[in-house]
Amino acid sequence: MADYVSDVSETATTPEAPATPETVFRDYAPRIYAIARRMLGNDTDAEEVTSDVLLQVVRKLDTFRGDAALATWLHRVTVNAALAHREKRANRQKHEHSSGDAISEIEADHIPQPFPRMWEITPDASALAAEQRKVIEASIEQLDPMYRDVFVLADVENLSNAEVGEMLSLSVPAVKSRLHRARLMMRDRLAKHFEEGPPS
Amino acid sequence: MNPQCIEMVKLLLDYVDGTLEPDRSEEFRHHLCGCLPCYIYLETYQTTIKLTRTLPKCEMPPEMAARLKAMVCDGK
Repeated sequence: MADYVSDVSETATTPEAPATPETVFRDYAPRIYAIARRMLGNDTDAEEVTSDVLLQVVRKLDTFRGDAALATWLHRVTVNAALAHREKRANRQKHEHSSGDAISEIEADHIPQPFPRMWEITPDASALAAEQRKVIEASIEQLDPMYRDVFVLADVENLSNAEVGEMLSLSVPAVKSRLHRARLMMRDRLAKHFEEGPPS
Repeated sequence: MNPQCIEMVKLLLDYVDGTLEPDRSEEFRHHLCGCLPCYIYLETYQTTIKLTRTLPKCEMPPEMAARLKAMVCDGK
């Protein structure tokens, strides 16, 4: 198993109450799971990554004191673990199916729909209806991973393009290009569900 | 949408993020004033971003939470 927490001591410098397995689980498991779940698109893989990251953190509890930077750092660790997990899975699948065409970084220009209509949903509502939430989550899951990673980190987790680039080893222009493409694909998918009916 | 609209769509991210150069930004706004499809496209692009940001965190299924908690806290 890869060691995702080898540099934990660098971030754990504040002399606060020592963390326990219980506090680690309570404070960090939901966030680790949320990121892994959206990046990997299913519960089985998300559980594996969450347990992987939690176990490694717990093993290094003596260097772990609830530093404020810890949450950010765990974010990064989780992203690394999710990417590694996906790579491992892809390698397994490559043995089974030998398709594996590389996805081109630069795809054909996005052609917008010719007559878009306004949507019957506003983002101002304090809570999205369960059905609407399901539509958005499903649309995220359908994104190709190269776009989904950037979209989840930038638009769901609200990280800056520079932070996303650092986590995914991408340049900022590459992050922007993928993010734009992801947003356009998301917009088109959501339009099918949220557009107002045709004018009478 | 005409070829100019397609060019405008390419600038959406920078326009929304406020990183478009002033001249291009002005050109973008000018185009929006005369093009309803692009105006709607921009609105719905922004709505997509805002909707995504209102998503609640994924909730861990209770059985999974119980399994992980047992593993972390009890070493099971």
